[in-house]
Amino acid sequence: MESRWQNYFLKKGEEFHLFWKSYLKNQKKLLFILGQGFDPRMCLGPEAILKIDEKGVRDFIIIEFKEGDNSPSRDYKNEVMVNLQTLNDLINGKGTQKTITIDMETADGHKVGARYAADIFTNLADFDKYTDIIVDITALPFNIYFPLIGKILFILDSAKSTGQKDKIPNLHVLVTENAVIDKSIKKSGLDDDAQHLHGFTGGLEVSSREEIPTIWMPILGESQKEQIELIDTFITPAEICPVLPSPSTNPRRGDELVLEYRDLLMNRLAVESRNIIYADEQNPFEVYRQILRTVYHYRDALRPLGGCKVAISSLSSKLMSMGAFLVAYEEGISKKQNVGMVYVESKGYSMKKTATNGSTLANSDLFTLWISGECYES
Amino acid sequence: MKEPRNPFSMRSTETIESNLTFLKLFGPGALDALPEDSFLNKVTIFRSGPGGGKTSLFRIFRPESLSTIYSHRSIQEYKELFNVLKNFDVISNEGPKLLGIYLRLSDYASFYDLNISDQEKERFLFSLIDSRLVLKMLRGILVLKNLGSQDLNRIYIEKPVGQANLPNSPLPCTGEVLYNWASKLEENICGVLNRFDHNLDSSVHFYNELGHIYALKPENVTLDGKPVIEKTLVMLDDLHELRKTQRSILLKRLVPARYPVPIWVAERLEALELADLIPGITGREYDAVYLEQHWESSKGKTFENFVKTVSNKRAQIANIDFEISSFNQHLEESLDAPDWAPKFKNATTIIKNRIQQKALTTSVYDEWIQNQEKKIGTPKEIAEDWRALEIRIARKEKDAQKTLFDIPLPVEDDEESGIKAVSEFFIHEEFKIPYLYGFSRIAKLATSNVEQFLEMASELFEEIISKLILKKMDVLSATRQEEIVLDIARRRWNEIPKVINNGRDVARFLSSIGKFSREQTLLPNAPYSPGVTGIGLREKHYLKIIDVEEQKSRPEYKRLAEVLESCVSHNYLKATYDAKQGQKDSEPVTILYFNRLLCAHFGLPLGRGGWRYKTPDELCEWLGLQLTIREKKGRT
Repeated sequence: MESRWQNYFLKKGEEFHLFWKSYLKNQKKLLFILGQGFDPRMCLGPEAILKIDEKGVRDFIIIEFKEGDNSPSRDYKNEVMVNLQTLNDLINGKGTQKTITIDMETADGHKVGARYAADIFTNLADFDKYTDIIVDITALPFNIYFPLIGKILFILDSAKSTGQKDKIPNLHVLVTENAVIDKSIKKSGLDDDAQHLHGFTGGLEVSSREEIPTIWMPILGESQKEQIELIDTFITPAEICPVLPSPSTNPRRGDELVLEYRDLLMNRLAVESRNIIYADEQNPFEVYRQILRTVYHYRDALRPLGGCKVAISSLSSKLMSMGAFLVAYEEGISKKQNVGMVYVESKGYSMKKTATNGSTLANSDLFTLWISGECYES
Repeated sequence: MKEPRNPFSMRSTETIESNLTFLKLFGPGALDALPEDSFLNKVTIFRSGPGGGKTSLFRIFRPESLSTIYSHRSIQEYKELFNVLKNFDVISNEGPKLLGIYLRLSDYASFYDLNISDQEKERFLFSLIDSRLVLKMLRGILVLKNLGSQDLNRIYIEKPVGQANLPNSPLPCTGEVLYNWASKLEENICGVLNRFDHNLDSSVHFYNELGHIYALKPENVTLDGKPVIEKTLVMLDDLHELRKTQRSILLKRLVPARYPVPIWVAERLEALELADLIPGITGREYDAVYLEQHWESSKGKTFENFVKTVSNKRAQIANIDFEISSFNQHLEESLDAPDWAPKFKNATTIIKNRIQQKALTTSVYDEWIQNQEKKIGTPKEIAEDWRALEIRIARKEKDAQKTLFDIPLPVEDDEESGIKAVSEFFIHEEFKIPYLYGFSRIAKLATSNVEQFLEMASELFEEIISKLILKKMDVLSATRQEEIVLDIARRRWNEIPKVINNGRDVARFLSSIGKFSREQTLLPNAPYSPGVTGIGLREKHYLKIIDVEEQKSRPEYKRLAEVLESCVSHNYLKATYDAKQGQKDSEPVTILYFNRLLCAHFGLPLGRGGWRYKTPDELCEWLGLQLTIREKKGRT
């Protein structure tokens, strides 16, 4: 199978630092895009790159998202202020800093964050000062970073397809992984229904394709029962292929997830155990490969009956979700196939205070994914 | 498809993929909620909280269901439904007569974020609904006639004469031409809405109304030149998913348009403003059916009987090695078995002792006690009678007009209202004897919501089949039933902050009502028997909370209104408007009763009738809101 990210660029841990140290020697002009949030990991990625003392532009776009008066995230104003102060100290005159505020919902409670996130950048001119765009998704919610990165990648790809070769910046995604902190941050105030993700609908919403069976691939994480139920009700899949983490830092995690959802998956949703897909928890390109392989398999098998639609839901870590992003972008956006993302909006997030504890934070792993640019050109 | 081991776990209609399974499980009693004039050419709105049964009701009239019912009409399991639907004249011995066109309005809200004019937004909304109705109609005909998409060209649709304004419509044309036209229109709009790159195809014409509904009239549609359907019904589900403006525009267009087909619209209560959430308090523009209210206002045990049918049907299809003919027969229904006798006897002894201690200092209650001693009954009845006597004594003690002389009070023939129910609850509280058990009470706990019933029944059934497999017992003990119900109630409570937008406010508010209600319920003289399970708002107070101008000067009322709205629309509080309170010196009151599962969580009895007046300021304080200063001196 011919796939865009068959060969990929991913660095983690010590390799992350080595890569950026060597890469920045060529006076790179960097645009950082990151979320303003309470996540204690918010500044770890930029910090690691900024402390590399090389010349070049270091501009920042900080995305502030307003979740409304009742959002539980408002309880963490102090944590947000601490993060902002840390970031200011890090930038310390090395570049410009601009804050873009996104309203996550309208006055009547409808969620609009995803659409607004896709409208932040409109054309290549938005990036003409930079050689590299770095989106740090650590403190960004899923419904913001998917359309945001999707739109940036779409702008870069469109420029390339029109023959423009110069001044197309590289696109990197940073993720700071920490299983303990991930577990301590929970969605709060779920919407009553699931929905398609703006920009990533993949034609799933088109009624004239209603008869085509839907294959659903939820990437499973802990405590997502309500979301699984809502998404299942929304898409009524013909077949469910849950994606479980394996290999994983906790080797039993996949089994524990099966145990957590055994009634829901096996009894109520009648998932066949042979449908389970295993993918490397720490390699989004591997998640991408596994999901893509399954998409091709179902598409081939069901072609005589008119093909299939594929709905992907990311209910696990941000790192794994990037695997889903790559599939949904390549298949749903680039190739205009029936592959889209389905998710449940929430009012905000809540976090256990233990997550801010220094020793927990020290166990975080930095990942950098080079999504588009020079390294793919040969 | 293999039936599941626990069929109760299939809760919402959407999750039951197989039509056969859905129809097998459907309780025809749900169709009683349909008003007699439902099939007239007008708009009827069906409202309920989540899981109230709207989508199931609509699903019955979809072509897939009617075809399946027709082809299985001789099989016992479907016979009753076939006959009920025959009475509605939507099916006959010759086949389905109705083409039900079902459309969910779930992904239309995003029009309102587009940077385009309001007129364009409206045109997108109506054009998308219009195109999808056309697609659903054509597909529906294929299903009813058991045809494939290659047969679309055998269908012919006339251009409606008269009212419809359909410029650029391909009508009159074959089904194939119309299908392709509608697909192109739909894909164009979806592309604009959802893709990063899509530009509108300038050749596509958009509409300001649902013009093609006129073409859905049966006489406009033929198959091979012959009439194909006798009736059409348009069903628009999930209206609450639209933006408020969209919802209002759609309803304003639908109602006066007088389309030549009946139109049913379903929405959750959450779409409504607080003012509209309370049936009876404001005038209505449309014929609205409140499903839960339908069950509550029905006489007798209508909901209980309905869920009994539903639960027995589900139990019967369970994929297990033995047969279960009925669900309720496996639930312990009474505490009269010998196992319980020692507990009740012990309770009787303790209560009796307390009463006798009191009687040592007065002879006022002598006759009551003597009369009680003579009573016969089961240990449970005797214990409850003694507890009732204790409450009666507490009431008398509390009474300001105590007798001056120590003269024994005569035995009263009439039981004071609710005292029996409250004595059972008090015994449960004091002696930890189960209260939440038996089918009637489980049905009551569902608070007229089918999904809530299925949630409890699912876990009870799981336990029943496990016990039966292990051959441990035939019936699930009352104690275990109560444990399961309380566990569900606890989980339901814990999920409030997670699943409701302003969930933390809602939880805080409900928690305050719960605490208050319990304090009032457990007063020794049980003054509000069977207990306090709700609060009442005087009409003037209620109107103040929902008044937009008042909310501007009292922002805490806005927050309170939002919380009340969430509580009612998510079925945590049931609202009733009692105009009868207006007789004599009192005024109409809006009563907000707990969902009975929350009664279980807060340790309250399940009965209704006991409620206490509260002012908006008291409610704001419960929410932890600061009151606007100007009002602090003189409270509302």
